[in-house]
Amino acid sequence: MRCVEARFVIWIAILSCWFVACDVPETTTVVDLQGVPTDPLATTPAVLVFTRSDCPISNRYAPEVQRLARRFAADGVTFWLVYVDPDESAETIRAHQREYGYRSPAVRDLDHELVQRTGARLTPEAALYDSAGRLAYLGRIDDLYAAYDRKRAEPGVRDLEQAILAVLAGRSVETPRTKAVGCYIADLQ
Amino acid sequence: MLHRGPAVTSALRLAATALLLAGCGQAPPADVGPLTFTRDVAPILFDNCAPCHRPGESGPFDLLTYADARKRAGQIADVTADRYMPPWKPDPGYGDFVGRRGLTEEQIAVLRGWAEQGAPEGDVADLPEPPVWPDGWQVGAPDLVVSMEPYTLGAGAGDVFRNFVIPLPLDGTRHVRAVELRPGNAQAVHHAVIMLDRSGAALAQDAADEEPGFDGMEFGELQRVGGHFLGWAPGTTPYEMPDSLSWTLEAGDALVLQLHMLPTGKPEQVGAQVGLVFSDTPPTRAPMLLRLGRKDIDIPAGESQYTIEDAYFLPADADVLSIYPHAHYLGKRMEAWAVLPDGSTEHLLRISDWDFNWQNYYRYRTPVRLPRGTALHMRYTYDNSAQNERNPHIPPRHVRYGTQSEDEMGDLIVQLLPRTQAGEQSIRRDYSRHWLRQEVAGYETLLLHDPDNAEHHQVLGVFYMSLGAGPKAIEHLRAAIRLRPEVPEAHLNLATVLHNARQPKAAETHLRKALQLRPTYGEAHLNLGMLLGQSGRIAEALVHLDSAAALQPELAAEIRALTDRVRGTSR
Repeated sequence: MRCVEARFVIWIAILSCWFVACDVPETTTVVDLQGVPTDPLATTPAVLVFTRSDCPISNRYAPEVQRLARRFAADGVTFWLVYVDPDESAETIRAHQREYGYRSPAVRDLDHELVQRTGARLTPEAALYDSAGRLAYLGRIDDLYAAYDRKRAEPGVRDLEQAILAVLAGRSVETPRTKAVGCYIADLQ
Repeated sequence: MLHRGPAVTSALRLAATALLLAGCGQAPPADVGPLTFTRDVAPILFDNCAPCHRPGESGPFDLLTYADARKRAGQIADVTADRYMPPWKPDPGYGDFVGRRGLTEEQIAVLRGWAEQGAPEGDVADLPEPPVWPDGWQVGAPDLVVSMEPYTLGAGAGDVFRNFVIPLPLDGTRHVRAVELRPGNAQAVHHAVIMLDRSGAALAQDAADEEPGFDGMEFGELQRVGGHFLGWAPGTTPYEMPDSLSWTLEAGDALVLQLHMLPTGKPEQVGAQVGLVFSDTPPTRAPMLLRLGRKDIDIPAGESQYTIEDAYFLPADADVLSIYPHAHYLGKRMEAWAVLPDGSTEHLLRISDWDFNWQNYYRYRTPVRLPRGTALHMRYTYDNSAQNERNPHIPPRHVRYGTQSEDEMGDLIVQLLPRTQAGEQSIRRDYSRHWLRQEVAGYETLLLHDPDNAEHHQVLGVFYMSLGAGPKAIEHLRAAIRLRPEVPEAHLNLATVLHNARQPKAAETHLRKALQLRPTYGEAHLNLGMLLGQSGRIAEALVHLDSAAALQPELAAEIRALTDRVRGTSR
């Protein structure tokens, strides 16, 4: 049932493009909270943080995500929150942002285009694109959780922060892929 | 507990995703047959998950409806297969405990199969009646409800251990037979321990900290409530005892709630409540808490298999009511067992994957009967290597015994109910020596690494004194005085041991030194008075005994009796 619905959404999106004679954009079903199609990768470097409002580990990372967003704002790195549960309304997301004090812009990845493009599998997971628009890092924000029941006292490696520093310095990211711990995006498909 | 290999898990997940993409989840694996939420999954979730995963409870999301479960189908399959959920640390078959949680292999296979089949809903007619949980206090109407001062837990950073003091509005003695703690905010409170403050020390610490409560995870002068474990963890049932085993509160007592709080990502209001149910009659028996374990823990950095052991022989018949294992982040495996006089072994507890974050006491469904002569054993293993993700030190550091979370502990607290009163006295007497030997070993280890710590020498000297080991006591008390000659208590203690060792001259010297340092030291006046009296210097003795009586009016009667004896010897 859900598969059919999903295909139908893509079909409509492609049809609407015929009418307005646009190029086929890569992010047709990625919309902001007003429902306007939005490409968070239009300007890079950018970080996509995959999240949902009801994932406890995602939520515990809210202060850390905001710390990183603030730290790198002056370097021109944009942080985007990518909400991956298509059932979460814009209203729910706005309330979630207020509750957790998020200031970064949010998009809804209605048909998991960004999920597929990046290869993200969990929330929270971060995808860092460098200024050339290449995926430079995909994985955990840090190593605080080794597993659900294996939480460190504090992170030993802040992977995302290190990756951003490398990209800004024009270096290659030392560990470009890491394993995140959190809620499965596949459960929403 | 070992984790399933991540490779296996992700392969299964890939298979599940492939199935979804290929046929929208129409082809079930052969062995479990077609599964649906309403018929197969809902009964498992309702019984085992929803008690906590429902609004207002500790589960961070609900698991009550098809929509709730479908969004987490794969995750539910994985966390149940890993036995991370439902949370229950003791290994099955090692102790039969109240409130045991756990799924059968069949139930775990159903959850896995359902996720792999695409999490279908099924026929709504199959759905069992959703469970109904009682509202309000589970113990009935409490006789007294007290609340902590509300506390705001910050959004971020690490776990918080904080103590909240609740003075009790009591006008006299009460006997408590049931206690229920309501965490107020079950999302933020991970677990709680209730202690008793009779000294006022906790209230003073609370006052010294601007915000409600004070930080820390030590218990200091706080006491376990009269031989009982009182606490709360997700899913705990209220603590209820028969009237004969109630425990006593006095006017002026305060409860201290030590809350382990886990920031959720947003500020959280925490306001726990405690409900107490009183008994009309005083207790006729009291359980005892015996601590087995080691205080000489000393784990080199990188050591992945550090083991401690302790054993205690019961000198009287007793029943084990419950058990409380305790270690910090390096603890890995815990075992407790009893070897009965007939040679048989009774397993008391085994935890293969200790997790500091899920500590709890475990109450036996039926008390474990142990005859006199039973040996109680404990063995804990610690992992201080970098491979232990819970290791608070990166890179690993040498870790020793201590009550701070970055130190280690190794306690097994056994709640015992002796069969007879004579048995209780015999256990108390006998156990105090076991306890002292643990303390002595602990302080000897501390001194090994910190040989110039005057306080350690002083405490160790007093413990040796209690064990009747005079020469050792003298050695450590002398060391304490050499390091800190200005502490009058050290001189008094040394004088006591010297007196017992029949060295009255040396004892007198140190009593005079104590009084020189603190002329108003009542106990020193008393001891010096007695010593002088014994050596026949009556007039001088009476001067010190008079000073002692004036300085310690609460002991006036006893001192008067001693004074009369000294006078008597002069006639």
